[in-house]
Formats: sequence, C-alpha cells, structure tokens
Amino acid sequence: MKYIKKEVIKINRILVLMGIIVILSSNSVSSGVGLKWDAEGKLVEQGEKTCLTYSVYNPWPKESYATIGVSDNLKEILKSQEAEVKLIPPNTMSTNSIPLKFCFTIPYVYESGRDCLIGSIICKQECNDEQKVYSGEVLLSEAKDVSVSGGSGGSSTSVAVSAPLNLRVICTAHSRDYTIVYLALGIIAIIVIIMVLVNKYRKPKVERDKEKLKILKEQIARESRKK
Amino acid sequence: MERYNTILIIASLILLFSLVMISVNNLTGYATESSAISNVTISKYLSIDLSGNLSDGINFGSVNTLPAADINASDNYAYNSTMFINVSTDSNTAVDFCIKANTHLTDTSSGSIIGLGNETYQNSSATNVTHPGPSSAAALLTTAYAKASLPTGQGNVTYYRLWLDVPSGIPSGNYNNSVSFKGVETTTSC
Repeated sequence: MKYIKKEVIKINRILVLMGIIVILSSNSVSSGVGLKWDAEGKLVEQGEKTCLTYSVYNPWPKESYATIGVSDNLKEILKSQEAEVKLIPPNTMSTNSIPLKFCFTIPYVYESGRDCLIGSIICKQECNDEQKVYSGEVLLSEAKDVSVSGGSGGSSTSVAVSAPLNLRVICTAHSRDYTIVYLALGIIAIIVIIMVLVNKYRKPKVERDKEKLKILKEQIARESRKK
Repeated sequence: MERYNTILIIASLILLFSLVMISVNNLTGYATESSAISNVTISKYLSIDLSGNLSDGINFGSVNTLPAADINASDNYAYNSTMFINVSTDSNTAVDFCIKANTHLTDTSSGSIIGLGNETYQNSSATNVTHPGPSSAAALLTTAYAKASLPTGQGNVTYYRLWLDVPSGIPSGNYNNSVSFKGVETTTSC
C-alpha cells in the first residue's frame, strides 16, 4: 500500500512537471522577426523601378512568415510597391540571413522641369529644383492572420521591426528625347521593306521573267511606234 | 518593278537614318580617371518576438456591469505579466518598442465603438505584482506609433500590462481592434 502511494506521488510530480514545461513552452514559443541592413539611404532615378534587398532572419524557435514594406509617409510617394512574403525557418541567425527583395517605382517628382510633347513621351527635363529627399522606414512585419482569437473581444497583436530609409531622387537633365519617334520610323521602314520584298519575290522566277519580258516587249513596241 | 525598287531604297534610307539617330542619342563621352576606392560597410541588425500570450492577442474577457474601469487583460496577472517582448541576443543594437492601435475597439456587426482612449498600457523592464503599473498612470493607446519602452538591450525583455475602461451606455457586442508593436533602433524615432 505504502509502495503504491509513493508511486502515485511520483507520477503526480512527473505530471505537474510536464504541465509546467508545457505552460512555459506555450508562453515562450512564439515567432519573431529580425532585420539586417547595411544602408539607410539610396540614390534613385525618377520614373524608374528600384529594388532594395534587405536581409531577414529569425533566431527564435518557431518559423515565421515575413513581408517587407514601407512606412505610411513613403507609401504616399512610392508607386506600385511589390513585396514578397517569405517563410523564415526557425533558428535562422543573422549570419545566415535570407535576402528579401522589395521593389517600387519612383514617380516623376521634378514635374516643374518636365515637358512632354505627347502624353508622357517625347519629353525633356530641366533640373532647377533642389534635390528631393523622402525619409521614412522599411518595415519588416510578421505576416499572420490578425483576427482576434476567442469571441469575448479585445485586441489582436502584430509585430514588426524597422530600419530608417532616406530616398534621394536624382534629377537628370536631358533635351527632348525623340528616340521613340526614330524607333517608330525604323519599325515602319522594316515593315515596308518586308512587304516590298514579299511582293517582289512572291511569284516563281519563270513568271517574274515572263512579266519582265512582257514589259520589255511593251517598251519596244512603244519605241517602234514612236519611230 | 522599278517602283518596288524605289520604295525599297527609300525605306532602307529611312531605316538607316533612324538607326543612326538612335545611336547618336545614346552617344556619351566619358572622361576616365583611376582612383583607389576606400570602402566600409556598417551593418545593423535586430530581432524581436512577442511572448506567446501577447502574440495570441490581448483579451479583456466578458464585462457584465457598466461602467467598468481598469479591466485587466487576461494575461496581466499570472502574478507577473506574461505579455512581453524579447530582444534577441543575435542583435547588435538596443531596441526601443513602439505601440499603436489601428482603430477604436469596434463591434463590426453593429458599428458601435469603445473609444481608443479607454485602452491603456504600462511597460516595465521587470515584472512583479506592481510592475508594470499602476493602471492609474497608464498611457493611452493612439493610432500613431508612440515609444513604449526604455532602450531594451540584447537578450533583455520589456513587459506590458493593458487595461480597458468601458463607459456606461456602450451597447452589448464583441469589440475588437489590432495593436501593433514595432522595434526600432534605440536612437530612432517611432
């Protein structure tokens, strides 16, 4: 009887210990995000697509999905931002960080010096304004379902880390760019050449020679009549 | 036949002209010089994670009597707070945490709200029955990020407690919003 009691106490202790371990692990195991950067500024050209690559890592014991973006003040400036969601495996240290690319298009911010003949083509650019600098942040956020668990109300939570980012937009002055006009002319010329060659060599050589002979005969006849 | 030849010659000339003009447009003159490049790259890196209970969300439970003041989040007191943010030892900078909410606590089915000014928080680098606290000195959540910690070094933790006031006259319902935590390098603003 005494032996059984001792065994029951032992089992209870083991169960309590296991419970504590489960509770502790459920509290401590969560996914996190890590960001590594080696530049806080970038020179960018207006009207062009720019891509930045940041290194992401996750030294925590649970995998996480992360996505990269910019702060609200930069969102107002940058057009068509493309960011990918990436799975970061657990225990990915900064030394083994994963590159995560983020692309965006810089709009034409030196509008006062820009003059286009048709829509946004055949343009010239003058650079009289001071260089424009846009400051904000790059945000690495954990991509997760943010709906609140349970039905009794409260706040869902999300986590992010950020790095400062200053975008200095270059203004490159240039005269009116007629490249597209020359390109169009070239394409039309090529089409015309192809059409002429197709027309010329469509018929077999014998027929072409017959036509030539016919024209020559007509010419001779005309010449004879003149004489 | 001669007509074809004339067209061919003209088209070829136009093609030649356009090719010349395109290449002229792309012509640039570069002066060259040589130099030795001096280069250094400075990397910064930081990583944070929310404790399991904080990651699961901030739950204020069910409220039966209004008005209700300083309702504790369910994880405020497991004696200590179990809502915290870790800074990884694999970071090379101390971190400040910023906090914001996206909107008022809102019951999406009725559109009723509990104003954001009723959701408050405190933070502390340590936790016990009084820290973080007290609720009477708690800061209001806003929709803009605000600093919500002292600089937290590598391997260290900042603890949080959150409270909710529910004024009288709030219709029954399920009220939710989203609270965001952001880690920034300690010298940087939110």
